Amino acid sequence: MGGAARDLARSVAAAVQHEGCTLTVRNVSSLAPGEATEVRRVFESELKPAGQPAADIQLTISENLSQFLLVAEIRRGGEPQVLLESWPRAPSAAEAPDAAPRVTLEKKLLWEQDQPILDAAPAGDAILVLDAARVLWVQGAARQSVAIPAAHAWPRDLRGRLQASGAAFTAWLPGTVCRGAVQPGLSLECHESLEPWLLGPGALASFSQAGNFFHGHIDVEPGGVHELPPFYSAAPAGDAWVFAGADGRARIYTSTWELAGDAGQWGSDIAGIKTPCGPRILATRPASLAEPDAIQPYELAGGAAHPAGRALEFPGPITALWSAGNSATVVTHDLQTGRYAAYSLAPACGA
Amino acid sequence: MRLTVWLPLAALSVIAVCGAATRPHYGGTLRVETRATPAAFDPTAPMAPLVFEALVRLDETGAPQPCLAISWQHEGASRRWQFNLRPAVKLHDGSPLTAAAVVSALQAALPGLAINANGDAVVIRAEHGISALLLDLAHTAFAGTGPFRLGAFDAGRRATFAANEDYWGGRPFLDGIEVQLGRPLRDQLVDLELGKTDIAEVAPADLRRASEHGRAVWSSAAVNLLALEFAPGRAHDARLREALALAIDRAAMHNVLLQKQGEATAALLPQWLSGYAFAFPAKPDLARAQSLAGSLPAAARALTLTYDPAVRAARALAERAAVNARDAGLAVQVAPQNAQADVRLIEVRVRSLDPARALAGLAEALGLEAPPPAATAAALYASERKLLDGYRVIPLCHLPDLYGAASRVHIFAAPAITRLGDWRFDNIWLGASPSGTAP
Repeated sequence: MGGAARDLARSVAAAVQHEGCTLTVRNVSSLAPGEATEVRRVFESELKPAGQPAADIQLTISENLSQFLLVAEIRRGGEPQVLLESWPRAPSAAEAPDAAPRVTLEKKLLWEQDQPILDAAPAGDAILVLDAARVLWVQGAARQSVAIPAAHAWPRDLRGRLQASGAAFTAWLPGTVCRGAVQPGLSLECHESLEPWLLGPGALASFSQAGNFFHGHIDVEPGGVHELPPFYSAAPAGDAWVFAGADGRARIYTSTWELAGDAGQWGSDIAGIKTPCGPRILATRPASLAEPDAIQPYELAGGAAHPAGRALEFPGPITALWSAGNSATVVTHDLQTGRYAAYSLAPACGA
Repeated sequence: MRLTVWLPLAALSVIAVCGAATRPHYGGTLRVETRATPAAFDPTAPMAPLVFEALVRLDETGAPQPCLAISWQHEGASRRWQFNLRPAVKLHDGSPLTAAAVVSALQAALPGLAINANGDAVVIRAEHGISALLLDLAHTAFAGTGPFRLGAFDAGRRATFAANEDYWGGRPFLDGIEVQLGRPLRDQLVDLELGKTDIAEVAPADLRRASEHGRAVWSSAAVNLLALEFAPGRAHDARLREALALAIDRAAMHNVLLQKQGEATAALLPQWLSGYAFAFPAKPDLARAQSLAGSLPAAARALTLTYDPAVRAARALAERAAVNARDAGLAVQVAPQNAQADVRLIEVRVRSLDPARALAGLAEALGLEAPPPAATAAALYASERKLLDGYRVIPLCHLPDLYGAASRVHIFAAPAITRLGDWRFDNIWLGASPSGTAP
């Protein structure tokens, strides 16, 4: 930056034959004001105008996709003479240091990373994280990961489910199921399979091999097999269920699997959790994936869903929400940092 | 999800959020209309990235990113490059993309380079350093491996595309795309309003109308140069050409006729790409224009100006230019599609994120002498300055591609329209369709 300003100042000084000149500076680039001031200082100190002004110099700090430009337009009566120098732009913001994670009383950060997180689950005092390429095991500063072999191209809007039980865990991805263990070391074995995913306690549902939704074929114990409209997510609430349909409707089903009604305009990710004061449903907003989302707790009563506490705001869209029994795992994409964060969510009863 | 919209469209451009679902739906056919009337499927056209891919692609900043090559190395002062192919990529006919197939395609596209297969890699050698090779490769889309297969192409009328179920980047959300070619802008807007199309090109004057009722407006960067171009062998006297150039009131054109979209310019390259476009004086100098016109014989002060009605705001711009010219003492007659005209209003497109390549492309499209290679911004400025000397071409403004999108059209990730105006519709999904079909 300073070198370009010095070089340009020397060229300009030669062009005006070291005579006096007036200088105006403008910054039409994204260069910070302090840096622009420094450019001016270096330019002026190198130019060293002397005597009566014989030329007007308009100095512009500009930029293109890869460079900053310093453009001097020298006016001495006729058509202006243009001289310029450039220097490369700094690395993009994507390479900037990460922002500190945000933690609130209602949510506990499990893990964050640059790549999209599909699910995360506590495994003893460690954490397992599932993404498109690996299962990661984190315990304090210790980390291990095993790659997930990609037997086929993953669908867009990839989703995945992770369940840990003792030292063993299972990961479901579209058309693939992986089983592994965290002891004695992290291990994983994957194979192509249309095995149904774990939907909730005692409930399994088949997931689209090339999409982002459940087909609607579910197997609940007890209750048997049921065919429902395709859905994105489901939430058990006591004996009842709520399904976030792929058509945008959230449907409430009774314990006898009769349609009780619509829950309202919810987002496509919902989860059921058990709390000391009864089952609750956590539902995202019907937001776009470009805007911050929130999770609203609901209570089912009289065949309808009623808000049961304040919504918990997140700094970006929610990309995954899975039930984990007494808690839920939520993944959010922070729109400011660009990173994905998995939280364990345990809303206090009556919050 | 990001919608890349280049100012000053930001106020108009929002993603329409409808329905209750956050997650994208699979299925449906996207209906698109365009003015373009290509005689054949053009691998460099904005719709080409639906079908064709290259070893590398340029991101929105112009930096090379992996595409069909997942990594590359170079050695020997960039004289030997090795590109490692992405595994398990299939061509649209179902056959695997092999290094041998890539070599064959690149040898035809990049003559003069030694290109060989090495296992699953492609090795490129040159006698001299080829540091610009990545840019060459990014602009050489050769493989039918893209997210959509070309279904039918009825020249000048219609093109259809079907989802590539085996696409390495994941099957597109859409089942297909239907493109109506050769649709006038006015008809496109009506179809958008009537729900007969999902995506339509929009004239600057129609932006507000296009954004009503939950529709969104998408924009590329200002990639289209509108300029006056003198026909070869016409207007021999440079004073005549300069007089016309100095008479043009670009600011009025930009503010009124183009609704402040894009930028008024006297340069070939847009400001966002060169960084120095403002250094080409764009303000009119009527006194000098009158002086130049006055120095010409009366018979030499007359010009005919023509335009292609398919160019946005062409008639209004041409007529405004004629009015400006008359103020300078020139007599300009305007008529559409006059092959014998002295001057024509043209629209040419920036096709590279690399300024030097973009300038070379514009020069070629305008029939100007090829500029020499420019390694620095100063050299590039000098080349552009030289191209504009003599006023054979008079730049007026740079306009973005503008599209209106129906409220049922959603974007999952990445811009639907890139900075250069390419269609990235593989990340588009459709909201609840009239038929209410499941995804």
